Amino acid sequence: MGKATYAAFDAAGDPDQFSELEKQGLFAWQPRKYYHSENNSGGDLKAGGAVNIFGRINREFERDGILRINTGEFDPIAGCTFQEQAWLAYNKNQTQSMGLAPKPGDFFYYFSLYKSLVSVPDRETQMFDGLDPTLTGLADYPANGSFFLRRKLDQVKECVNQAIQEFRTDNPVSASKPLLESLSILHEIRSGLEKEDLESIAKKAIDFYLAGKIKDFEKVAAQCLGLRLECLADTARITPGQPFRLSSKLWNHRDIQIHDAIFKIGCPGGWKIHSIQPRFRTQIKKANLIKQLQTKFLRLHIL
Amino acid sequence: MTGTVLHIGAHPDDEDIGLLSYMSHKFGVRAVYWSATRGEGGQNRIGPYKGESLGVFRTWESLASRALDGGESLYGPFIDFGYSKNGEESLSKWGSKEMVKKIVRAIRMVQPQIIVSRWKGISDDFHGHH
Ligand SMILES: [Zn+2]
Repeated sequence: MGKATYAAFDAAGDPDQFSELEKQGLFAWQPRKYYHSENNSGGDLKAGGAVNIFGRINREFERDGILRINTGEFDPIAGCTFQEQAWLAYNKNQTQSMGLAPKPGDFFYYFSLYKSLVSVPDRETQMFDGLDPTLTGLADYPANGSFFLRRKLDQVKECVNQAIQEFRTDNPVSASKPLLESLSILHEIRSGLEKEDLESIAKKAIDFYLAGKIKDFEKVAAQCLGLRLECLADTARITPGQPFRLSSKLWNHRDIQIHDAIFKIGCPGGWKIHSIQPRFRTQIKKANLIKQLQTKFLRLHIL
Repeated sequence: MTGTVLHIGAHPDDEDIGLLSYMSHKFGVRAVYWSATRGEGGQNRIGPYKGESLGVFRTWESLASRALDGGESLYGPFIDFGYSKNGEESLSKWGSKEMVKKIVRAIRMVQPQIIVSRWKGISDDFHGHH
């Protein structure tokens, strides 16, 4: 595994390698840094693993080129440390009989920096040292310092900061306005990319990245607005060719004014919709259900 | 934050899980764990499932882990053929070019700034799959 990962790190950013992946909508992307995990405190070697069970300080690793993180730091949102949350998660591997007791206190992991394409301090203090991990990082790579991208992404960041300022857990609606503004800037960037003086492969990678980011923003904005879209099939398992019924409901929990709602069904390539019979129901005030779509016996076939 | 860390391992329980929790909860960055297999060849200490069914079961276990540590799970298409002492066996069974390609695919899909390889591909790694 380790060996294949070295090769993959070098190949991923080379558009001439595995170019067939472009058919899947995946374009060359060069990660900037490569770390190895260091097995600092042993583990159940007989079981074929080396889980960092104790998280102790390891003097051997306290040197340049190796990053130490302390996952025993307290997470004020969860009310426990990051490592306590990690063990609770790890204990879900019940078939492997993982049972690690979460407890507060320092817990260290070590990562050695094997390769970096950006300049970093000899002794790093965070994994993102030398990188901009915020949205504008996209302007550095793959946008090669694009002024347009940096300016626009800075605007998105400003909107996000504003949303954070305005966010209230009991009423997050006002945070949605700057989030929706961010969304329109992101769309603007996507359509403006074509004119930018960048290699086409970089443009495609950025476009793919932004498409994912737009979905993230849409999700958060919808949550702030109290909008929830439900889409359910009437049976849990469907075999190709089997008729089934699909219902979609849009819930409006915060009574947001909505001018129109259009339901569209997106199918994976090769699927075919034979018939759709939408039956719209009018607004049901009490339950905040604003619109409902029922497709009766929508037939999907894998061709 | 938009930074992304892609952590790469061979089995569903190889991950440095503290890293996922720390990166996602502390910094709000995307922390993705890519496992080459679903751990079909592992033990099952709680039930009769083995092989493929165990792979399905362990996938659920991983997803349940991610729900708590804030990370995401992705998988390669490789079959865990059980405990292996050397890496050559894995490379010949899985195909080295195919392995590289699937990791490249994961990188291009996730678009991380940082790769954290759980294993170094040396004999110190405890398992031939590593
Ligand atoms: Zn393993």
